[in-house]
Amino acid sequence: MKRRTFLQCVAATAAVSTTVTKTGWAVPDPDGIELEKNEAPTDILAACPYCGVGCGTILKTQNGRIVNVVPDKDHPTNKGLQCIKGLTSAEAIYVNRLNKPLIRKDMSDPLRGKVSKTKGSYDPSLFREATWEEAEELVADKIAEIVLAEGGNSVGLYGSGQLSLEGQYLENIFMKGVIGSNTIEANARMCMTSAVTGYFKSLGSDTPPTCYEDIELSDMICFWGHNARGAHPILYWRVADYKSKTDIPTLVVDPRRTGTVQGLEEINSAKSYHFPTINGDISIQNALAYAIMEKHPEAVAWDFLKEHTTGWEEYVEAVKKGYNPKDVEDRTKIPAEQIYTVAKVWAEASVKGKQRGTGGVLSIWGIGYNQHLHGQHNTMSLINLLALTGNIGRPGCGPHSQTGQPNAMGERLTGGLTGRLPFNIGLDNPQHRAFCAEQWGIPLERLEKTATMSNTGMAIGMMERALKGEVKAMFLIYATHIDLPDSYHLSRPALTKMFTVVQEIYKDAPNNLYADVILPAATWGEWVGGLYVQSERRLYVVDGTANPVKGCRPDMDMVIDKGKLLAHRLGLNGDKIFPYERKANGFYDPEEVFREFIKASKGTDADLTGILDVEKETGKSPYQQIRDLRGIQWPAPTAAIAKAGGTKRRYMAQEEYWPGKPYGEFRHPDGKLHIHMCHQDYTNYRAITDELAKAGTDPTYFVMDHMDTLVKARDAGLTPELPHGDFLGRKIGSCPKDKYPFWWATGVVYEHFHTAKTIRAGTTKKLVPEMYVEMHPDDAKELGVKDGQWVRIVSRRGEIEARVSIGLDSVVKPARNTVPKGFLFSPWNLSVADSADPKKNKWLANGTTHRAFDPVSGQADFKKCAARVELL
Amino acid sequence: MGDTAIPRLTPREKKGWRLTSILHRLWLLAWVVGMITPSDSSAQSAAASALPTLSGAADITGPPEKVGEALFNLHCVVCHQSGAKGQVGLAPSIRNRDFLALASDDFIRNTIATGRVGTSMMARPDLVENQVTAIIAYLRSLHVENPVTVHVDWSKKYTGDQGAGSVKFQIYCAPCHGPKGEGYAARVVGTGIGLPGFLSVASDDYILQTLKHGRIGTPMQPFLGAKGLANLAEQDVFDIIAHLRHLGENYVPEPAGIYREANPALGTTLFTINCAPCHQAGGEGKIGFAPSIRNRDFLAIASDDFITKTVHEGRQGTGMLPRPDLSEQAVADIISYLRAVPIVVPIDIQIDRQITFSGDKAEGETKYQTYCASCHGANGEGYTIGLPGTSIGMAGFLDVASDDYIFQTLKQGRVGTPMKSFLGSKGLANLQVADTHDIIAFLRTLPSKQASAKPATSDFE
Repeated sequence: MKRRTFLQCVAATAAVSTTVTKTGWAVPDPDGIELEKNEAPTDILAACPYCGVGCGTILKTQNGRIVNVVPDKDHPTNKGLQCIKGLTSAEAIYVNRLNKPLIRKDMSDPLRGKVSKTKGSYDPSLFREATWEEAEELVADKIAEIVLAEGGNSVGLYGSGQLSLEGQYLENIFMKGVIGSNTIEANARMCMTSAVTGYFKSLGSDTPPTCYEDIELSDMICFWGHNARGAHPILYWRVADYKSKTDIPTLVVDPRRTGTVQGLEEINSAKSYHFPTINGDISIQNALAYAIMEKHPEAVAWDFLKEHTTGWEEYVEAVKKGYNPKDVEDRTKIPAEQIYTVAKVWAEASVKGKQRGTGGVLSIWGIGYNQHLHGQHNTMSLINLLALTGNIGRPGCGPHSQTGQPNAMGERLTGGLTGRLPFNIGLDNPQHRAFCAEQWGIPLERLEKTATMSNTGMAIGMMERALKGEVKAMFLIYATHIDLPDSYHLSRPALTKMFTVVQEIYKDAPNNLYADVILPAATWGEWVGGLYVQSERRLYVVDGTANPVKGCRPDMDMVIDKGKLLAHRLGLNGDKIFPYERKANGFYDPEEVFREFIKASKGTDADLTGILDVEKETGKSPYQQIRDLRGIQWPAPTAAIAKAGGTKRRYMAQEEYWPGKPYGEFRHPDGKLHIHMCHQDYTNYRAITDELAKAGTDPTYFVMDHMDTLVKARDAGLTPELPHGDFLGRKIGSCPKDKYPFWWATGVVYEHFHTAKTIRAGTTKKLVPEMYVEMHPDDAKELGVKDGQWVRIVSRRGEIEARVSIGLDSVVKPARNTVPKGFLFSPWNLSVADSADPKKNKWLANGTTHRAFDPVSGQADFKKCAARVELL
Repeated sequence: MGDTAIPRLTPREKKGWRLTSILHRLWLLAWVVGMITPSDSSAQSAAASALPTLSGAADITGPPEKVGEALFNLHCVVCHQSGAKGQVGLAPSIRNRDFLALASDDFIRNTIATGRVGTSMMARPDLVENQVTAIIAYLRSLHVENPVTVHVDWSKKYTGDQGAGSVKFQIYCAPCHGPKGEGYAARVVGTGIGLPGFLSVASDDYILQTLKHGRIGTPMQPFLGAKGLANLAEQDVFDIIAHLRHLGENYVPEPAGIYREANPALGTTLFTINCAPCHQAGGEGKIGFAPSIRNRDFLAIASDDFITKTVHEGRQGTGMLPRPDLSEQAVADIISYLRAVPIVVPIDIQIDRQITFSGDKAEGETKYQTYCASCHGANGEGYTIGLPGTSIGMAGFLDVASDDYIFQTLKQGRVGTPMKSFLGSKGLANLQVADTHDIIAFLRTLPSKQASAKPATSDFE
């Protein structure tokens, strides 16, 4: 049936008005903001700009302006549902926007040792307005000078999982190919790299093997350190709906009794398990493995282990030797009998799944689980347990990592990180290097040279290297610096010293405080578009109006322009590397870039060339194919697979129509899943954390120079800090100044996404307007503080002010979670919701956090710092 | 289907036949249900994928058959299927060579105007003359293989013996059309030929010609002569026609009220014929098209009266048409089927239908626009303007939904649908109870707003 006519006629019968109102989610008044044009198409298909679930959303426009978004009922991920953030995403677009390039009058000049005296302020009087040409020439001159004087690796880039896949792909070419730098990082580093490196180590490729449909096939679902109810609501609701319909058991491992824990318990508390552990995940997994082998041998998949894995013998032996649930309660924090209870449930679900051929245990985790000194081990350890019980390589079970950024998966796939090339292959792979140099039009020697450069410590190391003077310039693209830990001693002084170029949208964005040049960017929705890749490997369009605020340019366009300019300055053929021309609408066409990306994917385990085959066959463009199918899941190596919407699941020959199944088992050269035993041993806990305490407090201590300490901390499964628990219970103000008795965790609140847009969107700002700290009622009583009272949370490195929120009846919104005794939690989302101006900004959560990181994944632990509470 | 669908019967005593008839009907029932419960009607999935944008502003213009196609796809396709190919047990094939050869334009016109009482073919007096003309033009434009010409005399009357016809009808016709020619409603594969609606438009000769030619591609084969299914003579047909006329004259609609215990098995068939085309097999619903009604949370909140009233009065302005033709007993059967949905994790919600809340309309408007409008539309238009939410601003809904019904829905949400709980810190928007009262107060103002809005004119006037 022609749906459109149906709607039209029904609407006509009803004689209802269809005008869009100006209230509510309608976008605030223009605030003097002028757009390029007064016209744009409406009903534009896009992926939500926020988390990595990747909900389909439809942009409504009037007179060229986005006025509303509605959920896409035909999108398989969200099926007509969106959370409050996505539903209000249009509110944050036309607010306090930059529209002209700005140049700081007193710029930092690292080649000459000059540090700007005005950094730390974005007062307009400190900048002068410039034309695009002037700003771009200035940037090209400065960067070329630095590259020629100090080498490409002295220029860094901090990119984003908000940028389109096409922008990310070009950014990587720009850095590794044109600038010749391996110092390219992205906010994916603080988000998902522990999963990335864990997948590599265990499975051989950064390929999440599962898809969302596995939820509705599983027999048990676990959330590891994951408050999906807050961070990935649509995923949570799918799980909750499925649990309501089928009564499957669920496990949540989280120190807090979050909305996730309570929501699942409301469905059926008898089958909802909660392990309130702090840092004990690896021990819990090993203890579960022990209990399953001891009591439920029928659930151990010996055949799978023997045929498809390596390292299982050592794993089995080490678990049996060291992880009797009774002996590891000091690390799991969970009574042994509860481990046995869940082991039984896990075993039953595993057996059910195996017998049926679909189902079993699905294990989901998000950002918090990755943010550990042992984040990579967290992923590996979980895969160990799933492999032991045969919960991998079958629909309805397996490991499922849920990204934070809407396109963190794009950043991973395009290789926009230190040492990576696109398509899950490292820069250390000579064949792929040669292939990429050819595809990119870059002289091979240049890429060979980049491959010799190191960026120890990755995102955090890059900032430490800047403090040391090794990195002299930095591009910040669609990313904020305030997602990095230890702001006051790490990112902020680093950005102050460097020549810093930011692509920004808001006049009061914290990046502007440290920018030498600010380029006004077009944001999601108003840009031309591109693709996002969400957590189940689904590529989906983020079409836009192609009608940004007047004067702004899409980030991808800026990459191409500066790429061409700098290539020329550095003696390369910019037109060959970036063979793109502006179109009639004044912008580059991302689909052209995507075609290049597809071609370059040929033969890899992320092969997408089937999409081009379909285009040859049907004439339907790649984007149109993706729109019509509401997404294609990579890989799509043949036309048949592309037409079927790509590949839902990976490994164990689940890629059904791939001729020859070249990646059919696992991606390691031996085709096996590699099991590596991961341990937790708290013997030297205090000594190691005492050394790490120097980070951020001793200006001569750089974590990147102490990788051995990080490796020790990682191998023992430690945290960056260990609170002085003995000093708990003291009245506020009476704790010694060198003692930090509380566990101090930062994370996210449901109403906000990161720190920029939702705090500017009227609805979400109103729902959760102020920084709060969740506190246990006994701690509040002992401290002598009351619900709603403002206090200071002080760590070794900084402090924030926050309102005490106790329990579910707190006067402080949202009052959704409860915390264990001795544990404090604040949302980092409100970091600059008071003001980004350092003179007024009291909520900067990452001013307090610790910069120690996982030595392989580079990810920091924002959740296990130590703090004390003081009076305001 | 073809031959296997036609039970081969030999003449025998009426009593003896009854036993076999029960067996046949059980078998046919299984066949019918199997046939007409596809999980995804191709017409509807085609509709979903053929949706280029959601604005829906373009007028239908063009030659009559094109306009007719659009109208068919709007008004008829849900039952008669894409391309009018029909679906046995649900709606007959009307792009059928033999049907189109026999049925005059007036026959089709009358059928559309008056419907078929006792079947799910609704009277559609709302379709104006040129719209019906366009639909007929579309049907006549459809390609059929090896077209035939049949002359039907619309005034000719035949004389037969009703008593003899009754016996013959039971032998030759009732196995497929039901003992009284009730058709699909009796859970058989044949159409309702004993119903007055059909008999008022079908002339004697139309029936004779149908028995003579059959309907190609359907279970209705020729019955006349040596090549017929039953080697009937013309006089046999005249007798059967006499009996059919007798059935039509003596048609007694189902008695009003509920006179026996609701039967979920019967409800399944009634649901499949009358509701599943929109509400989908199993009542799971289709977002943006028809809501999920065989749904734990809906059934916990909606009373039987709520459902009965909704069925009988429909939801004006939406695709939910009023179905006064479904008797109270039939609706009770359907409800018993809905309520038989297996529920693994039960919930219990008590609705106080008497209670009314006194919220603030103005406050409610702001809150409604903030929290509800993106899915339900600024004026509660819902599906009718392409949104994923239902049409909660329309009188049809608000007349039957009590304040507490709406409140409990906001509190509980609807499992398996985009409608989540909105109440409290675990809700989608952390609404407080007072917020919901304001929203309800605003919702109650919407129908009068819509009534005062200028009615849109039809595309074809």
